[in-house]
Amino acid sequence: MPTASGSSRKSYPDLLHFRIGVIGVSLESPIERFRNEYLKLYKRYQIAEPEGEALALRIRHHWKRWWKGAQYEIRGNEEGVLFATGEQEVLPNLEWALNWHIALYHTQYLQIHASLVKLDGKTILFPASPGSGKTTLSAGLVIRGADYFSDEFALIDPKTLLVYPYPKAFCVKEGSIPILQNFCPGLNFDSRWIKKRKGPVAFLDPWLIRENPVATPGQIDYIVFPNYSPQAQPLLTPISKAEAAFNLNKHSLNFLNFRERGIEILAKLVESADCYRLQAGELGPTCELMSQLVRNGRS
Amino acid sequence: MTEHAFPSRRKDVVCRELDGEVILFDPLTNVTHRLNQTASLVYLSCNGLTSADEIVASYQDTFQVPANISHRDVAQVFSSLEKLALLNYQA
Repeated sequence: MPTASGSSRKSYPDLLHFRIGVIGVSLESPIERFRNEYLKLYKRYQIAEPEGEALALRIRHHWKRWWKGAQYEIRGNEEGVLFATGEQEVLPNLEWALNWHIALYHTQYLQIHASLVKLDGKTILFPASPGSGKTTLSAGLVIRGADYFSDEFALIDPKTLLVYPYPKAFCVKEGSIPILQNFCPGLNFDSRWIKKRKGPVAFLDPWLIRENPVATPGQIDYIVFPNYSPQAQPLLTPISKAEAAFNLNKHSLNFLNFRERGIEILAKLVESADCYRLQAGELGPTCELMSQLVRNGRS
Repeated sequence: MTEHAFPSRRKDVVCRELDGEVILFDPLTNVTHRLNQTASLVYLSCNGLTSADEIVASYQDTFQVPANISHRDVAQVFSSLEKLALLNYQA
C-alpha cells in the first residue's frame, strides 16, 4: 500500500489525550507526521487519560483509485467525515472537526463565534465574522501581555455568565503572518497548512508568545465588535446595549438552544459590560487603543 | 392603523428592554428583533388598554413633534410591527 511522502507505516498507535481548556480531545492517527504536528501545538495540554467527555478524532488514509495523491479521512466520534486532499489540509480539518464537535455537543454553554482575551484583569469579547481581524487582534493583545481564552469560541455558562477558555492554537492567515512577525520579531511560523476557505494558514501556539498565557474563567467586561481595514485609523465607538445584544445574537452558534431564556442571558451579558464597535487598523495602535480602554474604563 | 383600535403585544413574544430600546424574540419564527427608541416606545405602549390615538398623542408629547409627524411615525411603526405579526388588535 503506497504511503504519502513524509508519512511512515507504523502499527496502530495509542490514543493521545488532551484537555484544551474545557474541551477534551483524543487523537488517533497511524500517521506519525500528524501526531507530531498536533503534539507540537498541544503538548502542554496532554493528559494521561481522558477526563469526562472527549471528542475522539481519527485520521486515516483514504484511497481513491482515480486520485493520484494522498487523501485523508478525518472523523469525530465516528460521526461525520471530512476529507483532506493532501497532507497540508489535515491539521485545519482536524481543527474544523473539533469546532464542529464543540458546536454540536457542548450545548451547556452559550456559544458565540468570537475571540477573547483578558487584558489587565478585564475580559474582552470580540464577536465577529471570519475576516474581521479578531485572531490577529487577539494574538497582538497576547503579545502585549493579555491572557488568552480563544480565537474561535466564547463558551459562556448561562447561569453564572462566566466565560471558559478553549485556548486552541491561533489560526493565522498568510496575510497576517508578517503583521505578527513585525509586531513580535522572533515569532516562528514554520509550517503552512491549507484551509479551504482561508487559503494558506499557520498555527501559532500561544505558549510560544509567553509562558502560561491561558486565562482563568471570568465575567465579560467589554464586548467589542471589530472590523478591520488596513489603512483605517483605529477607533472605538460606544454602542447601545440593545445593539450589542442583537449583534451578539447574530454571532451566537446555538442561541436557539436557549430560545426565550437566551434573550435574558444576552441582556445580562451586555448589562454587565461596556459595549463598542471597533474600527481596527494597524495592529500596534489598535492594541494601544484597547489598552487605553481597559486602563481608563472608557475609549 | 385604526385610530380607535387597542393594539396589544403578543404574549408569547419575549421582550427585554435595554436602556430605552427593546429586543424581542418571536418563538414562532425564531427571529430576534431590535426596535429603536421610538419604535420601542410605541411597542411598549401596546398594552391592549391604550388606543392607537392615545399612543400617537403620547408619542407627540414625548418627542415634542407636530401631530402629523407623530401620526406618520407611529403609523410606520404599527405597519412594521403588523408585518412582523408582533401585535394583536382589539376593537
